[in-house]
Amino acid sequence: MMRAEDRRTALALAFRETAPSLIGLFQIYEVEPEVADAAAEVLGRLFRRHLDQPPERCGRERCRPMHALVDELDRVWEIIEAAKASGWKDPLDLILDEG
Amino acid sequence: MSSSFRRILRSPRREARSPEHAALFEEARGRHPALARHHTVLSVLGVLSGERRSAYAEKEALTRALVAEHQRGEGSFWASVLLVAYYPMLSRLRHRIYGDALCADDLDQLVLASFLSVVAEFPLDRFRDRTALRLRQQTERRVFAAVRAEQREQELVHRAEPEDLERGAERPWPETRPEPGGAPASPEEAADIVVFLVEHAGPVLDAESFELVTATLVCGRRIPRYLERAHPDLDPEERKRLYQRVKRRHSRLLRRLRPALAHLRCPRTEADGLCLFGGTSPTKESTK
Repeated sequence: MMRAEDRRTALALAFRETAPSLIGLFQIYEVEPEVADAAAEVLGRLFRRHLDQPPERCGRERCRPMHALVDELDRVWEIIEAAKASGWKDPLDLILDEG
Repeated sequence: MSSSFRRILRSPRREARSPEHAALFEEARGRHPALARHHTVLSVLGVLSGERRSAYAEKEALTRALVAEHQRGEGSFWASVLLVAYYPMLSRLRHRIYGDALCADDLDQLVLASFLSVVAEFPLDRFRDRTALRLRQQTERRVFAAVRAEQREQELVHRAEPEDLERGAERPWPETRPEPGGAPASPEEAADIVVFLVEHAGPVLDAESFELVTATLVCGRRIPRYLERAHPDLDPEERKRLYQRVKRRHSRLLRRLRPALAHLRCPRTEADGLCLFGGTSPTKESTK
């Protein structure tokens, strides 16, 4: 059974890959900015709810919500990377092991 | 008057006045009657800086002697003497150049280097009069030709897309697709491309960069069009500034991406863009 903290990490990784995927798709199909912003809002809320993260404000100029969300996810990613560096097993490996 | 230009000439001035070159000057006196009348190089410089019209013939002879000595190629002493002697002319020329094609220091260097190259190549046998006038004209021509060439190049760089500039030097990969509007043909293909980019480029790109390279590499959109959509409210001036920033960032991104994707390069034509265009799964190809 996967530990709760590993699940959080796996979720963070998934969100981290989902956000740029949406950015790519929105760009390819030239989606209206409102749709992209709303998607970022939804994804951000889900991310924060599942990972108990407080919302963060983007400090940059002309910051689109989806870009801000990736920044937010990146910070979680950095925590994960630091944890990995200290010998913590990659939670994705745990998922694969269980599968 | 540019203080930097004056500063650059401090060193030649010191060298020209230095007593350690007295022997060189002494030897040259034996070769040129015009110099023989002078006991030191300072005396020569004094005549050359004078305003007397009656001294024209003497100035001409002295200039030719200095040029001939410089062309013998014995150290930098004679170059320094010539630079000091012609400082007023060079300074006037330097300060006739306007525009931002070159920075001030580069302009200073350009003027000095052009003058010295003209002096080094000046055909004393062919031109036997009006040496100072010819030196000035030829230096001006070289300087203005170099400035115009730089302006033309900057104009091209300013107008060109960064990927076009890079294409001139090499055949980089990946690059913006040559045909604009080349979005993927189906949702599956779009998904393939996005997964490919997320997998291989995602870890090295932030969100804005990811969006930018999707627009240019995947869809073949030009940066101005991308910015029009991304920032429709910008005024033209602000858009111009942003375009310059984004253009530079895009070039840097491509430089960062190439090593990350190099192992995935496959023998397709440039019109195919990334390797997976045509339906092959990039993930499968990359793991072969």
